[in-house]
Amino acid sequence: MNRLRPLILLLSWLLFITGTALPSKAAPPPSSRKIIVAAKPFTESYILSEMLAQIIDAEGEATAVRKFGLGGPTLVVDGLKAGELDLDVSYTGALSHLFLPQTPNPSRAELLTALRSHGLLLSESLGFNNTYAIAVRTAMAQTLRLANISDLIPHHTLRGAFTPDFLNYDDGFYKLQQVYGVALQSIKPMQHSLAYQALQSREIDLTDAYTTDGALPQFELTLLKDDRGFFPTYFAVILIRAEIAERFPKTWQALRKLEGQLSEAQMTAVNAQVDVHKREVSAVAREFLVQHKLIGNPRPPTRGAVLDEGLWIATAEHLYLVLSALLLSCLLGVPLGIVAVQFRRTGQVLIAVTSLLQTIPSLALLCFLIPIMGIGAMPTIFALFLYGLLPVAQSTTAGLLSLDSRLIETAKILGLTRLQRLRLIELPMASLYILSGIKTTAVINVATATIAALIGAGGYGRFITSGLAMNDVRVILKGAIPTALMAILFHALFEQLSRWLVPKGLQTEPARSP
Amino acid sequence: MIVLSHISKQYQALPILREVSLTLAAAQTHVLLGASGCGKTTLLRIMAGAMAPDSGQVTVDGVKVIAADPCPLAQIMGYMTQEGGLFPHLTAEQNVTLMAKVRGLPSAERKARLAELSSLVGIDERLLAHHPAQLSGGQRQRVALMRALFQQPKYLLLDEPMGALDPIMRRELQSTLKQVFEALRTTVILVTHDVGEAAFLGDTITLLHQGSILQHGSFLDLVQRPSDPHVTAFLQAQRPLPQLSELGS
Repeated sequence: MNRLRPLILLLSWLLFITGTALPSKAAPPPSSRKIIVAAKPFTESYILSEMLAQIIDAEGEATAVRKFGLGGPTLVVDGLKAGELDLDVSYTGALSHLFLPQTPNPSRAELLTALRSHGLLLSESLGFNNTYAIAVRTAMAQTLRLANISDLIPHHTLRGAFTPDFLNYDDGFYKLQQVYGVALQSIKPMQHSLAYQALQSREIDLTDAYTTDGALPQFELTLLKDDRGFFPTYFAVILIRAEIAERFPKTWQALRKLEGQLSEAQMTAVNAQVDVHKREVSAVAREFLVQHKLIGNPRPPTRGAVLDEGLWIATAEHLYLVLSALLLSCLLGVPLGIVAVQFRRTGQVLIAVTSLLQTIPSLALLCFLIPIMGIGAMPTIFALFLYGLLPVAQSTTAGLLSLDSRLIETAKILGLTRLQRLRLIELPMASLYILSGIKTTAVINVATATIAALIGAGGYGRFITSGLAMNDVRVILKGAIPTALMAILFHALFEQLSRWLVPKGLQTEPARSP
Repeated sequence: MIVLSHISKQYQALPILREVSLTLAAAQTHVLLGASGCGKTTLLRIMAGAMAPDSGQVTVDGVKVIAADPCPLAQIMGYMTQEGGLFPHLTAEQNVTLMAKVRGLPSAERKARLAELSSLVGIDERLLAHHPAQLSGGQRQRVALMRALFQQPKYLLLDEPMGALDPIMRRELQSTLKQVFEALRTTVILVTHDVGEAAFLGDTITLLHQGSILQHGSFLDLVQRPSDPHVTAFLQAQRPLPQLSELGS
């Protein structure tokens, strides 16, 4: 243990350094003049939320803090209710589904009442209806003569892939099947941008699309007409915490100037600027706002915009997540490994439980944690910590079991107590194993921490998420390359650390003849 | 004085020791001699309190030994095994002073004792900064001997201390041990299967065979008044060097 202590100290120290380098992590206190703007991981959400953020900054009552790329509407609404987020652009159909699941086609008044009970307010529609649609390849639409959704009815061999949300909603695909009597050969859940690729490479035949999707022309897709009026309307609206609207009335006024400004064609064109022409979200948003005189002389964004966000902030965030989780994994994993050796039965149960934790998919685990811990760094660190527990505990157990039993016997006969043996003999002798377990955990953490972006904890994952959402490989690489580099760096660091921390006598050295 | 009475021990229903009774006087070197598997090492571990017998009892200076973890007799017993039992992650010096440090012996006293012991066992003090892997087999055994002697034990228990050494080193260490035993007048219990070593070092020899004592006495007793044909057979088992005349031209 005396050999591991410097490692723990080093980790704590690094944690402190990265922690202080970070912009404030927790939800700001009510007195702070910050408005936290959320965005979900798709282009339109990034652009609209970026517009909101630029309007807030231009108004000057408060500064916008961007939490972009959050996992989904449910997550954002939970964040708003908990006061961890302040505003977002939402869609009436999605809100009806979340707040009035029992009411079919609720009126705006009904929706407002339901939202008010959660301390939330709604703007008027921004102008466009971004509802669901069914997209097929234009070529296929022509051969099979598909124009309306009902034209799909006679075709039973088509393969569909849909976004998970669309599969889960009551007004989603399963309901559509009932209403239209459409039968498909297969149905898979798939992310939007991936589904378009799959559609193009003929791996699937139809997917759900949004009516304002800027990528539609690029992929040569045709939207089938909802000839039975199945889809509810999804008018874009600003969803804000009432408290924020009251505290920053001028800002709320300014934000509401967006109402009615965007037609479907305009929104599709703006989306295409990013999706097809690969322009930066902040630039596209600024251009629209200036053109429509929603902001005055634009200040060039110094920090915080989606893509110009300094890599160093993401690095600090990523390191913070990785190191905090690693520290916790060490503090609990090593004792767990020791217990597993000393008390076989209990140990086996504990190891079995940690192995079980290992099998939970990271996103699912985060979803379990969000109701308890909210969004942001906390649940991510906790999830990473749980994933790191097994490698650390197992390597500790393996290290202790690998020891020469005759040496342990000698230590007993010399008169060392159990604890003294553990501290002076067993743990130092097992340190090579333990460190390699910690190294594995560190490398896994670096990779897994990229999902943190989905729940607002930032890190390199923000680039990967937004790159995926906007189908932009350059942005994905901006996150993926530093992630890989950091993993390699951690690997090298721990190689060096084991040279430093593992007792000299254990490092392979040829025996010297006298 | 160590008194063993009616010690029996089984391992997985296999008898290792059968009704062993033995009295070992103080300030002498007692050798437990026998082939592998005769139970001599088990007997040593029972004496040290590292293992409890199935039946019978051990008393050391009139006090009954009760096996426990850690060993109850660690304070008065020095212990050394075939490979020395040195901890690879500690330097030779750290190995030697491990228990003294744990028990809080002041650093100055430790240094003095280190100097004293290294000259006693014949090892260059500078070598003590090395890890066991950097030392020769003979040097390692000398370090292990220093560790066993460090706390001035009343009893010294040695389990085949020369078992892993080549003949020259073995011979050198045997001489060293003899000098150390004579200088310290400690009660020594040494386990070996080497008849020559037993004869050279032992004041008394206890010959064990299949878990029982065949004979206990001086080497002369065993040679001149063997209690059993096995005794003579064991003593003569070592092949003598051929005479020059037998080697031909």
